[in-house]
Amino acid sequence: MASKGSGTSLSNPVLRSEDRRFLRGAGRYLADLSFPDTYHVAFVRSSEAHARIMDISTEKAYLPGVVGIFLAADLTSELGEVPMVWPVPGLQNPGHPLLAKETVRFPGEPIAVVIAADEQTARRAAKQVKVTYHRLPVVANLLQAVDRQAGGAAVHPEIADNIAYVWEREFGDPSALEKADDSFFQRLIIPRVAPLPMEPRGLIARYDREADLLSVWASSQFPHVLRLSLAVVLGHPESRIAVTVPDVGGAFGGKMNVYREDLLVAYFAKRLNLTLRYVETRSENFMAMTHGRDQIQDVRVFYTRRGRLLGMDVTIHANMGAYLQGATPGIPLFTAQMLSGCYRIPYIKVRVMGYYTNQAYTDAYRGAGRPEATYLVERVIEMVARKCGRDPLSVRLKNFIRRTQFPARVVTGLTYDSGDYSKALKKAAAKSGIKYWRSEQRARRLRGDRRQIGIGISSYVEFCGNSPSSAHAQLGLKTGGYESAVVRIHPTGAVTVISGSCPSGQGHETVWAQLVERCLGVAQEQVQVVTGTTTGTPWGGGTYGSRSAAVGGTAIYQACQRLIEKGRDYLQHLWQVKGEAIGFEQGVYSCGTRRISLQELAPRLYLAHDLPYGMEPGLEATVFFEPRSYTYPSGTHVCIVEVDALTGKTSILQYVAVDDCGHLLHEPIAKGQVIGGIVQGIGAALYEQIVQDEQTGQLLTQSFRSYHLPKAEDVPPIVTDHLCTPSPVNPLGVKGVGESGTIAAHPAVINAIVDALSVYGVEHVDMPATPEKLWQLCQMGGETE
Amino acid sequence: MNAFQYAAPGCLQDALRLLAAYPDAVLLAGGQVVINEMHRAERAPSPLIDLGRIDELKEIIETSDRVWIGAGVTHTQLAGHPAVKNWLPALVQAAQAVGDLQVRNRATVGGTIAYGDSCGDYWPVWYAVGGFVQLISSTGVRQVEIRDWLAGRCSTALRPQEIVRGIILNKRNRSYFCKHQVSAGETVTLSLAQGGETARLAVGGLTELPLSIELPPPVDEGWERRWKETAATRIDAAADPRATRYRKHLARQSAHWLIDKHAAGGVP
Repeated sequence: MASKGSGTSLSNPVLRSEDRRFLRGAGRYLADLSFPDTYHVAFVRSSEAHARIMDISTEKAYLPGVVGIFLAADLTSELGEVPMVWPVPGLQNPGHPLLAKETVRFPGEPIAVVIAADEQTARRAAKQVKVTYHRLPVVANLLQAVDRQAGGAAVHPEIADNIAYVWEREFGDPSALEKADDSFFQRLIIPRVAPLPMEPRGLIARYDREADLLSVWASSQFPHVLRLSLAVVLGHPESRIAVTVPDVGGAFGGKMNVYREDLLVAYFAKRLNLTLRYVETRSENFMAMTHGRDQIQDVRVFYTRRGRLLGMDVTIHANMGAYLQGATPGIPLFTAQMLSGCYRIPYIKVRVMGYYTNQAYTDAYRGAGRPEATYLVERVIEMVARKCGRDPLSVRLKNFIRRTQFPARVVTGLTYDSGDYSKALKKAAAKSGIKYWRSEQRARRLRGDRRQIGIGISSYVEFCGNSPSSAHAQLGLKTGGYESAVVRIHPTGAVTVISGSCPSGQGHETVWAQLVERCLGVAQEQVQVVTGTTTGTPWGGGTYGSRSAAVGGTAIYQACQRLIEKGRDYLQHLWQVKGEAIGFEQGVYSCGTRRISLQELAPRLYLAHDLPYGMEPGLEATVFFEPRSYTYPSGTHVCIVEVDALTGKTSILQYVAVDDCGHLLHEPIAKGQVIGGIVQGIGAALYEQIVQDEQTGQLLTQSFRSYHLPKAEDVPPIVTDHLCTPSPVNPLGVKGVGESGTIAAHPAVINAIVDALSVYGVEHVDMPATPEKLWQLCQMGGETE
Repeated sequence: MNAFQYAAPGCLQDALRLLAAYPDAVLLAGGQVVINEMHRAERAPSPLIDLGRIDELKEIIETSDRVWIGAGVTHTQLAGHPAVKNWLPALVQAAQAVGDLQVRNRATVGGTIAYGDSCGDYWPVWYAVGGFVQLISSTGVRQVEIRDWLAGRCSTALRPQEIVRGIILNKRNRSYFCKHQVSAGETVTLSLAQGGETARLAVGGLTELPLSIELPPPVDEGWERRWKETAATRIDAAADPRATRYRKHLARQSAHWLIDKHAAGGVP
């Protein structure tokens, strides 16, 4: 065990304790739970993107075993709507009914609830419900909304031009632009992608009428928020709702939302006094879980000939979808906040425009707004380098915030906590052998090879440690950002740690137990980690925004410190010495020759026979940790690609990631997060896109057959390394690592591809960089030459 | 899943008798289509006749000029069989390109034939080497030329009361295969096969049915060029919504590569 204050990395790699369960197939996910007398729910979903419902015929759907079929009209009027917590100023919110009434507005929108004795019957019955539609003009994608191509189609008739809101800010001093030698305009398109956790969403609800207790099991990132939402929407006492989150097979932001399906299943469980179970299919997951990204960024860039980036005028067109989920309107504001990237940019003007379309709602997806910002900034810096004829490495170095400038306030108003951007860049460049690849690139260009090499650099900074509640207030987000922890040392010395931050595969069990071991000197095996339940636990924020270590971890750390202090207070009384004279190391107090462990103190504190006056018995602490600032992980990724001009195919030959996420709590887990994140970024850069037919709005990508998620064979060798500038904003010095891989990867890949194809005169390619797209670009370049 | 009747006959005769008794029965081979449809509640067969226990469908038999592959042979078994490796190397490559390992271990040749996805990996190879689909019914055995089998995407010449028994393929001295993924689930596949005087190139994924291109015998000087020209002309002429510029380009390029490969091996 690393001793506290050793000054070195806190990392102490042990195998993840939960993997014993997962790898043996003994994990218990939502669909593994079984209850007696369970009924099953299926949804009748819209086959149309935008249509008026003319008729719903349920006649043929009452198959044997069907308990009931319910339409919007069957819902009680007291039932609320899907909660939305981010009322951006000026927001036109059309509301979010639980079932479509007269109009459906995106493919997959729930129209009716079917309840049956078994899952197959419920699904077959749902298919037998005949809905007659009158098709309406569609806004099939964001571009149609932005360009008003949709021929006057209105997603919500009361909302003009489908515009949800306009949010504008001007940061810094516009006179900085006077020194600019030139400017250019670029449009960047960041397509809509799906988070696609391995385990789709699902929920089981049962109601105990005697106790008036609503028990819910859900595959969720935030059990307490789900409980609160159920209480508000269903009008059921929050204290009489118990939410339990079993093992969760991935979430990526898609499960940090409360959906219509969740609310309806719980509502009908109570109303019908039945145990109801709903597990969505993969197609439903494609249709009705939140999607991510989907921005069109119009950027004007002001720069000097020597490669100094002076300012940007940015319009971010952001697709909300047809309705607003919990945080839909706010995600693009994160993009706006992070537009300074790793650089000293004197002036940024930004306007965010939200649009409604006949598509599923967007919301947080791994990175939530920061990948879009990093993509913009890193594409821009690359273009500036190219336009100035300078090395992209040196242009980055020239514009970087310097190590000595931290804490660094950037023009958008954020204060970055710590970092060493140049060091990360140099390390990544050295590790990836850029010099070798440059010479290989030159050689191939000279030979006119069909396979060209491209070098892509991406220097990123993002914010984690979500979040200081005051930052939420500033952006109009109606939630707090703190996290809770309870650390309880039982009379026998065994420890229970309760965290509001719960896993969806990250490895909380291991890390929390390790953290307690490190703080209290209690062997991990004696530490029980409790997460994912609202029963007997304080309010918990949940797991999102790479916050677990920095916020949840700090809460645990502080709870441990309180217990250590309590023990010290007690010993001060027992040993009759001053507190400062009592040392504490690796779980043991000492003063002179006297030694006693914290675990040995536990029974005495519960016995309470000799406590000092005024001291409460017992040994447990509850902490709500409110972070005073975000943390800012950073780093540089270097991607080497080979693009075959003849087929347009991209192969990633090498990928190097150097990340600074502060202190590491568990190195292999951090590495796994980085690699997993990078693969999701590569997926978006090369393959992924949710597509709807431009005329009809039909969803064309609703299975893995038509949506290419990176497979094992698509994953290149990834080398990771890290450097550490500890965060000063929390005592662990941690920053967060869950999303940085994704955030960095998009521009690393695209910059590499553009670099490879620059011989063909290519200056930009939008994601996903499909072979067909790249081949066409090579053809066009060839023609102009 | 709802209850349904299920039968697993041990021989073809029993299977045919069952099929006669239950005309609405659905035949189950490797389950890559039927099981998925049942899972999605798109199909509720009654009964389901599982052909997986009929040993005579699992054989591969080599004759002097042909290879007979039973309908129950999986892609993995096919790819590992010496006769196929010797005489139909393109088919081995195609078999190895199908789906993923789990699919290849389950999916069968018979299922592929009956499903008839004309954009599937096998079809260009089968078109290029030529042969017959063999069917059995209570009235006897029927053989259909491979290029008469497909009627459209997932539409075949299969008649009611018929079971796919296997496929008979011509042995070819040399055969080649290549596959390009165009986008998720969309591919352009090509195969070139030559045996004696006969040489044929087939392209999948460009037109509704694989494009079959007869090539002149490689006798005179400059045959490679003529082959390439023939291939390019036919590919360019493909008129189908899916035959985009990019797909045609890929097909042309691939045809060139396969022809070059063939030429590099020295024409027998």
